[in-house]
Amino acid sequence: MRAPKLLGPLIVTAVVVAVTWGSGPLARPLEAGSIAVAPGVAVTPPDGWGVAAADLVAPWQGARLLRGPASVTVASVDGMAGSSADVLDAYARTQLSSHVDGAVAGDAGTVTLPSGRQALTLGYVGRAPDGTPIEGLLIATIRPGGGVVFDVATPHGSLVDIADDVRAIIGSAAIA
Amino acid sequence: VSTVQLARRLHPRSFLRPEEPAFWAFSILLAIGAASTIGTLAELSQVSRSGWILAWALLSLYAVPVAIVVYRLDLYEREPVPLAIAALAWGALGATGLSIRAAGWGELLTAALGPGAATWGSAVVTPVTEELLKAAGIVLLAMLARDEFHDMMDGFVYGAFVGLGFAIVEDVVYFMAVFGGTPAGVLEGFGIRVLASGLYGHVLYSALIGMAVGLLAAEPDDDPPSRRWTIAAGLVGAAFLGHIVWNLPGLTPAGGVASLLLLAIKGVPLLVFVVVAVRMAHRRERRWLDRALATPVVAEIVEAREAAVLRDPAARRRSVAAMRRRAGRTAASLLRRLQREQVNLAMIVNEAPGDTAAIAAQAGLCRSLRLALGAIPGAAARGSAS
Repeated sequence: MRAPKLLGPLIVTAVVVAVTWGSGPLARPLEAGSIAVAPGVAVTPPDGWGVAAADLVAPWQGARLLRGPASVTVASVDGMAGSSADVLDAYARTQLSSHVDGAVAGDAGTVTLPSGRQALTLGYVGRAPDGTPIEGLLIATIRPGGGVVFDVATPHGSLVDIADDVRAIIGSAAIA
Repeated sequence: VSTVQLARRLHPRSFLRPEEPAFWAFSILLAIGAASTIGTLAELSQVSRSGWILAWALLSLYAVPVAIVVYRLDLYEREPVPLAIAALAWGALGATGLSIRAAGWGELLTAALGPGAATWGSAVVTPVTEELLKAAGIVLLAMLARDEFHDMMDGFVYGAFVGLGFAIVEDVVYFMAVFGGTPAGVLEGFGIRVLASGLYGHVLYSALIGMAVGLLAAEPDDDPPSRRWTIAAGLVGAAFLGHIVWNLPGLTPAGGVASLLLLAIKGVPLLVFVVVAVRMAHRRERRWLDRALATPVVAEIVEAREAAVLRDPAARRRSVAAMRRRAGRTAASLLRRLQREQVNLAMIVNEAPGDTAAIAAQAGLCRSLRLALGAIPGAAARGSAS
């Protein structure tokens, strides 16, 4: 009598586990060259850059590219209506505080990405969670039904050192 | 054994059933999902205190009436509140948190098929993962409280509560993390995600899946199994299809009145489908109740006058109100209980006509409730159930 009572919940639990965590083991073998960091966004990191999870607050998704103390967080969100400014504003309000304390932003500017997309840029300074002064740059653009943000953060004064790599990362980005 | 103890033994009407393996599966998965959801909500609450409060206030205005309407759609046997709350909690805390962790399927699809697949992939992958995770809660509830899933309408109620919980938390997350979290952003998000599209979202998808679960969990009736499975598959298919159509690229909101109209229009077919399905489910409920009330064993316990009242939910409410005026709140509460147990007797006779012990116990409960009611001054003046 106990076996049938156990079997049903076990099957449902197995389905939940497979749906919730099943994509991880399947995704790993595909990670080579171009990396899908979020639905609709793939980038190819230059040599020397690693990939780590980005602690983004849902429904934002993405990944963090790392080289030494420098990072480029690539974040994507679905279900968003509006402009690059809305995407930039939403990211700055909800995500930036996870890795930058006391961020102070400059003035926003516009830029055309290598893909031809129009984007909005915003520089900022602040402190890393360990207290290190950092400087950063947000680059936001829209895509159908959502938006994408590249969040570049480096120790103060070294943003220029990774400018070529950042350009390569953004240039390699395939945004659906 | 008192009347109340007997009633509890026959119908626990409780969520806490540690003897059921499904209870533990439900609770553990709910806790895992809740840890993720609560962490996300805690972070988002820091974005803007005023926006945060406004988000919950606006969603309460929407959710409370929806919950009441859904709860009352079940005509003859309202679902136990603890189980309805468990369904709401699964949707709000369990399924949302698990869905956040399941986001990797979209990335996997993009990695496998290229970035071009991302837009279409999102329209397919997200509905599938979200509906599966919400459905898991409904199925586990049906396993742990099988005695409360008598037909499609019971499943509809539990499914709708799961969907309502999911919609509330998902909306809060979007208001705060996508629409900026300020009061202006929250108002914009409320307009797009709730006013223009709230009726057609998760509540309906999960309600349809709940109807399928209710149909399959109920005791077999005159319909052959193949017909039940076909209907259930159709309901589940409609839920998945409705969600996928909702997410299709090109049909997502871009702002403006035209976009709001598009959102409203594209949900109408599913809403019509659900209204038709609910009407069909109501007809099924009436059919089995009439059949059960006509059996000799029920007719012996439920007088013809009482049966007429039981068939009509409005008449039931009127009879309880009249009893309250005539004999007070205790008598009204007792009458409501008697009517519920009479419906339960009809259900037992309908679902397990050969279970004479259960039928006798339930009949005894009805008799003792009527005796208790008759002992209250004024209650028996014009009959016990009308």
